[in-house]
Amino acid sequence: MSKYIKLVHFEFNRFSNIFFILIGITIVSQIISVFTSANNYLGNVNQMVYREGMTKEQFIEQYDYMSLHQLTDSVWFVGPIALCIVTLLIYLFFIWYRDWFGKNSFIYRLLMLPTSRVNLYMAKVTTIMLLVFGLVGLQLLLLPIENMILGIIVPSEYTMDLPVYETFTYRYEFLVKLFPKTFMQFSVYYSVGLMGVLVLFTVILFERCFRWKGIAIGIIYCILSALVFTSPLIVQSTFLDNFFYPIELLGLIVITGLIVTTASIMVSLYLLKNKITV
Amino acid sequence: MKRYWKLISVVLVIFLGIGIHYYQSATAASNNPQFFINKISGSSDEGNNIKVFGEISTTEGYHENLYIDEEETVYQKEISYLEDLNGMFFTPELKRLQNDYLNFMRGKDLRPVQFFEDETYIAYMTTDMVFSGENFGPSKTTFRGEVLDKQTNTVVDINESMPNQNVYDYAFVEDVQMINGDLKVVVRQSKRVVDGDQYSEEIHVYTFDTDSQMLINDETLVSETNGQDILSDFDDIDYQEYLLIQKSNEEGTDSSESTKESNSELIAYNFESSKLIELPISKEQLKYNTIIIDGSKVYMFKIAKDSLETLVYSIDEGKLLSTKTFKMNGLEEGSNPIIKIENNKLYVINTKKDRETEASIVVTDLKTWKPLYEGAIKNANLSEYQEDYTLHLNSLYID
Repeated sequence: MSKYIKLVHFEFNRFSNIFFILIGITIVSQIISVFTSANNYLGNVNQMVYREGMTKEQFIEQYDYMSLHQLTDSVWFVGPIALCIVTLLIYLFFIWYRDWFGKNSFIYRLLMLPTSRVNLYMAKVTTIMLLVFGLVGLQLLLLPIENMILGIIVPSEYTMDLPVYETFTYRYEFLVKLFPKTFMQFSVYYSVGLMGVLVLFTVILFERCFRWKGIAIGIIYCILSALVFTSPLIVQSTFLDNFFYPIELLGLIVITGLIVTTASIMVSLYLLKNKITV
Repeated sequence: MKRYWKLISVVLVIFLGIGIHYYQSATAASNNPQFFINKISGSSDEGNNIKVFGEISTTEGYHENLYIDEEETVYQKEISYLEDLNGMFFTPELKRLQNDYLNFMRGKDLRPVQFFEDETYIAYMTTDMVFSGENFGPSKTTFRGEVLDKQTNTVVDINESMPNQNVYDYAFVEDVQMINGDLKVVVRQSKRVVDGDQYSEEIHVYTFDTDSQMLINDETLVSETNGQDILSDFDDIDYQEYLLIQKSNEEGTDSSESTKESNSELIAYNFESSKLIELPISKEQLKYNTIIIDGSKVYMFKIAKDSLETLVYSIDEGKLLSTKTFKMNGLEEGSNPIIKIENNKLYVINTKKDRETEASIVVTDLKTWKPLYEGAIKNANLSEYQEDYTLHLNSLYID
């Protein structure tokens, strides 16, 4: 266990500089977005209400209340989110390939460690999860703060004085995609994401073991996983004609998801133990 | 421990961020208005089986589905994801069928009009339309029905193509009845009138023999260019004596067609005898806002300020019975209350409520015309919830 934690610590530290830079960019950029959006909005209020004599109600009718919703239109707000997503997507590959590339193959030393290779694999998976959920947690902590700053800058008659979780339920389509309404949905979405990561790791290990041939095997493995995972949906929409109730369908998808997840872990570990080449 | 500070702080951010957000959103509903049905007079037995569904909206654009019963309000967001998956907004009757006949109910549209239930049978019918690109209508329409015999637990399948299917643009099932072992299906279908943009809407009754599983009869009840309304209770899946049809009273461009067919605008179709009966009710009387059929009696309701005038026509006796008027607070001439008849009781509920007004509920015995129950929807945490809101009720169920 302590070896596993040490490995997680090691893996995390290898990326922590970039990670904390990402966090810094996100915080700074999103706070900027609060100010620019609020300024924009107040500029409109000035123009329409004070100069052109629009009533407050008409203005709200046309421009809506000031809220986090307007922020999600701002590139300062969405930009860092996109940057984080892209960086993590690249790092999904790099977390493996950096061990092979470079002056002296680091993977050689890693594989020689007097510890089970399960730990090696699990440490990489855990690190990815820490990075993803770390950014998710950061964003969820940032939103109320941004909401609060908005409330301070913009006069209260132009804001919806609602806490963030309230506003989630009916407005911010973009944010609701990242952070679904209920914790249950959140768990389902991010579990599917984790499964995807595990399948990708398997593909990478196939490639590392068999090189060009491995890529072909990997692609086949990918397609196979996708078919297995979505098989309840395929069956439902083709020849079974809505046979399953939604809850049964969810149950079946959980099962096929677990099958794909377990298979990916087993195959990865097998490759890592027996087939890996440096 | 000290060397792990980065790891530990990330884990902390994860648990705090995700934890606080989802904890707050899970417990948020308690801040919303909590409605309940408050009894004013009458027997509480009549009030505690009422369940109303609706939608709340605030001036700021927030809206959420909910239902209210005697004790509490349940918001859609309070319902767990798993429960929500199966849908909260279909009728309690279908929910019960789904519970009791899990396998029979698989893969069926959850429209109550497509179901029928009595002591022996549960019947279901749908029209399966395959659309083609040539004309806009379906190229192929098939009836797909199932009848479950509750005692023997056997299912009869029906798979029949619709007659003259290439003429019609669409066909929807509007009612299903089992009459002496035959399945009668009311279908609303539309066809394009030759060279023109005019559509003609027809109401058919198709009869299927459940022994031979064949279509044995096709009756056309009405055919109108202006369209017509079926005035049956759409949530009801029980046996009905009559189907009530109201022809559109709009003056269409070619009113000649509708006038030569019949002068009456209200038609009742008897499912057992297959007879069409024209109800001699004048246009003036038909101006009543809501018309409901229950058994062989047609109820017409005229809504006025704080009162409801009821006109009853008995099809069996062929005449108008007495007119009754009773008081109900909060009604306006233009308001559109939910009116429902079940077990010989009349349920009327105001559909709109905001901070100041209350939505009243009145239950009346239809035999004696005596009030059984009077209540109002109240907000239990009025003082805590400061926002302005409007509550729109859209359906009423009696459990």
